[in-house]
Parts: sequence; C-alpha cells; structure tokens
Amino acid sequence: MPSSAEKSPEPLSADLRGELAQLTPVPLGRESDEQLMRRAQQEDRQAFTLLYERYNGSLLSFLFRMLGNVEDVEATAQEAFLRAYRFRATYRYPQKFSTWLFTITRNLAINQTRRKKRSPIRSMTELNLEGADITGDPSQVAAAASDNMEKREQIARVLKAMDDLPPDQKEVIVMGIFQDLSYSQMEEITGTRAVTLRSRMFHALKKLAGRMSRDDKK
Amino acid sequence: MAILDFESDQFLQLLTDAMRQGPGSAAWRDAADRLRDMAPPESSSNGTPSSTAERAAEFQLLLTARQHLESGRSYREIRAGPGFTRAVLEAVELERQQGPPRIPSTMATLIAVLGALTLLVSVAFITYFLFTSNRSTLQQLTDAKFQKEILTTNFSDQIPAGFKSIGSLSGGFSGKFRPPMDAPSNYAACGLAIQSPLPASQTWQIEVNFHLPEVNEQAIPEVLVSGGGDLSNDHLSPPLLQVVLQPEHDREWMWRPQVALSDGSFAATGDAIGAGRDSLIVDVAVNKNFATVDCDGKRIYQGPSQLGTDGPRFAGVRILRRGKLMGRQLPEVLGIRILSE
Repeated sequence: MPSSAEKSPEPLSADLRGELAQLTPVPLGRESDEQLMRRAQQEDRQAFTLLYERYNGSLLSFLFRMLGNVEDVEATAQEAFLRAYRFRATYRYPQKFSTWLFTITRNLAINQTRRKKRSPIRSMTELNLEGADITGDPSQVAAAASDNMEKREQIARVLKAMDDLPPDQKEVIVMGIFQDLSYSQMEEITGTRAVTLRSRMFHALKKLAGRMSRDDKK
Repeated sequence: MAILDFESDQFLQLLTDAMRQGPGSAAWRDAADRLRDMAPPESSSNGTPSSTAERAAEFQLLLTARQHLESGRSYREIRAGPGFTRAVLEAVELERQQGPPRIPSTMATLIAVLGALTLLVSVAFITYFLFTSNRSTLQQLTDAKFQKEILTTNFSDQIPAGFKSIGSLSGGFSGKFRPPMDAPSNYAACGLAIQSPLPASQTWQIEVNFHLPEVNEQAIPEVLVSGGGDLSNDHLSPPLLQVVLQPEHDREWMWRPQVALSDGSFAATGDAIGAGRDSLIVDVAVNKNFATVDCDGKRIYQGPSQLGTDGPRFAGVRILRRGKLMGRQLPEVLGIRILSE
C-alpha cells in the first residue's frame, strides 16, 4: 500500500506552469528570432551571432536576386548586419525580426542601386562568399531541379524572364516567393499597400506566363 | 479588358495567396480546385470556350509559371563563406568594444597613449598653421554669414529666372515646384538647378525649403552641388555632393537625411524626420575645399566637399520619382535661395 509520501503530486496550475516556464532557461538555439534580438539588445553577443547564422543565407540570396551581381552583395550584406547590430536599440519587441532586418537590407540595396555607377567593382576572387549557385545561371538551376528536358527549359526561361521584370514586380517575387515573406510583412518593409503588392504579384506572373507561352509558340 | 479588383474579389485574393505560398499550400489547393470548377471539360453550347473557361485557362498558366519558380528556388542562392562570417562578426565585435570607453590600466599603455597624444597635438598644430594660411578653411566656412541673396525662386507657372529644369521628368509649378504623379517604373529625376555656374573659389550656400506631407520611397528629395557637370542628367557623375532625404522605416516611415560624397561614401546621417512637415530647410554651404550641411537647423556634416578646386560649381534640387502615385501627396519644393557672404 502506498504511503502518503508516495502519493502522486497534484497537477500544477496553469499559472504556476507559466511562471515556471519563465524561470526555466530556454537553450539559446531554440529561442525565437524576436527573443534573440531582445537578448542582443541586452548586450548578449552570442544571441546576435545566432541571428546572423539564421539569416545570412537568406539575406545574401535576397541581395543577389535583387542586385543581380555578386560584387555589391558582400558589402551591402555586411553593412546590413552591422547596422542591425548598431541600431539594435531601435528594434521594438515583439515586431517580427525578419521584417525589421529586411527593411534595413532593402533600404541599403536601394541606396546601392542608386550609387552603383560610382562604386568600385571588385573582382570575384576578393569576395568572401561561397555559393551553391553563385553564377546564378538559370539553366544550371533548372538542370538540378528536373530530369525532364522540356520542363528544364521552361524553368530556365521563367528564371531568365524574371530579370526583365520591372524592379517593383521583381521585388515582390523575390520577397514573397523566394524569401517567403507574407503580404503584410512586405507591406511593412516596402511601405506599399498589400493590395498593390497582390496586383504586382499577379501581373509579374502574368508576364512570366506570357513569356512562356510566346516561347512555346516559336 | 476586365478590371481586376484585388481589394474585394475573394477569388483574386485566394489566387494571389496561392501565388505567394506556392504548390502544396492550402491556398494553392483551394485555388486549383476553384479553377477546375471554373473550366468545365467541355466547351459551351456554341462550340467556343466560355469567357469563364478562358479566364480559368489564363489563371492556370499563371500557376504553371509559379510552379516553375518553385522548381527554381535555388536560383541565385548564396551562403556566407568563413571569410565573410569572420568579417561581419569582427565588425560587430569592434562595434561592441567601441561602446563603453576603455581606460588604460598599465603604465606602458599610459605612456603609449601620452606619446600618441603628443604626436597628435604636434600634427594638429602644424596642420592648423598650414591651413590658416589658406583662406578656404573649414573655420572660414563655418564662420560665414550668408546674407546676400544671389538668386531666389519665385514659383509662378514657369521655371524661375536664373534656374533651369534638370532631369528627364517635368515638374509642375503653382506657387511651388512639384514632381509629376506619373513616372516610369525605374527612378527618374525632375528638378531645378542654377543656370550659370559659380566659381569654385567663391563661398556660397544653397537653401532649399521642402514641403514633406508624407514619406514615400517612390519620391525621394535631394539637394545637389556639383563640381563639374551641370546636373542635367538623371545619372550624375562625380565630383558631386548629395544630400538625400532617404525614406526609412522603423516603427513608422521617416525621412533620414544622408550626405553622399564623390567617393561614393555616406559621410553623415542626420536625425530621422517624421512625415507631415509643412516646411523643412536643407542648407548646403561650400567654399573651395569644404562643405557644411544643415538639415532642419542641425549641422549634420562639416568637412571636405570632395568637389575639386577648379571646376565650375552648379547647385540644384531634384526629386527622384518612380511609379504612379495617384492620390498621394508628394514632396514639393517651396523655395530655393542661393546666398553669398
């Protein structure tokens, strides 16, 4: 017969569970981006390093897709991370960290595009980047994506056509599709209404589809 | 052509959600189901496809294009190499270290600091004597009082006397200078610059009064001083000093004044300025070697102008525009004055 000391403990109340959860340290790697940024604001450098690790790939790829040349990517990305750290006090928890970071990055990319004529071009060998597909060649990407020759050609054509889109339409594809940002995040980042972004997405894909069907007819 | 209402047409909203979220998402499945319902397997009674079926076929093409984009997701993917990661984290570490001032703790450090200070004082002393022998010093510029009006705008319905239109777009005049509501999808410029250049040896100031009702990244105001070109082209080349009111977003959209110099660097950044400003004054003063920039009454830059010491000097203001902005309130120029001592 179990003694009174062996009785199973009473279940914890929801309030107590909540309090305990706050006291139990969460491993840094499992913290949300927003929690990490809050830690970075409290001078936790390791938290910022983790954010860098989480975002360097998507930020570099975003810049490469937007700027179209690797020469500008390294300097702009480095400046974006540095600004994010320097102006960490301006981040307001619980704003989505990715939105905040992409706003900084996009502004720098716009600056870079406007200054491009005056920036010195460096050689590829000077860049500290390594890429799965640093050449950005659409046919290489298409070859890796499909065994079907016809489909490969269509994928390559769509990717090539993307570079001919007007910048605002290309931007909505890069942000919404490649970076997986929602319309409301894009609205916050670009200052353009979500309804306009939806229209841009529609017309951008319409242009790409038009290009596909024109090429098919040839 | 049918008008597409992305604001209230629920199907278009579903379709654009599917386009963004891609194959495999719930929106994609719903949109594909709806398209199948819209496009019956057989054509309508008169043997031609119905307009609904045509529309469905067109939308289906968009989804096919989207599928190809999904397959090409690795397009232009880059990862950071170890060198890049090291550079970023070292820059962050440097930034962190620069936070609190460091106090030298050992005698050796103290001696080294004193030695460096002595050297710096000597260099500063020599530099002071060298520069005071030259009239075009920074001190001379900061002390200058600009009271004599060389040129001023009186916006009626035409380009003011002494100024010329710059950039590929035309602005409107009605008591102020305003950019066009319609512009191409890439940035293009419209603005005004002085018609006749000023000599590089002269000390003068351009004062621009802006009306900034709302922040909009599709209309970016700039004040310009060139050390060579007459500012006519959209793409300007150095020697050039630009004060850009850069749209920036934190909790809300704001203007951030930035000073760009001929070497392509951003030499200074001012305090953020909120939207809804009836008047914001930007002053750029230059002499032979130096420039000062004030925005909203605050000095944001003083230092070398990088404009060269020989070429003719042009000054102007322009607004970079892109896209259609019907119904939006754009930045306007209320006045421009060119002043000398």
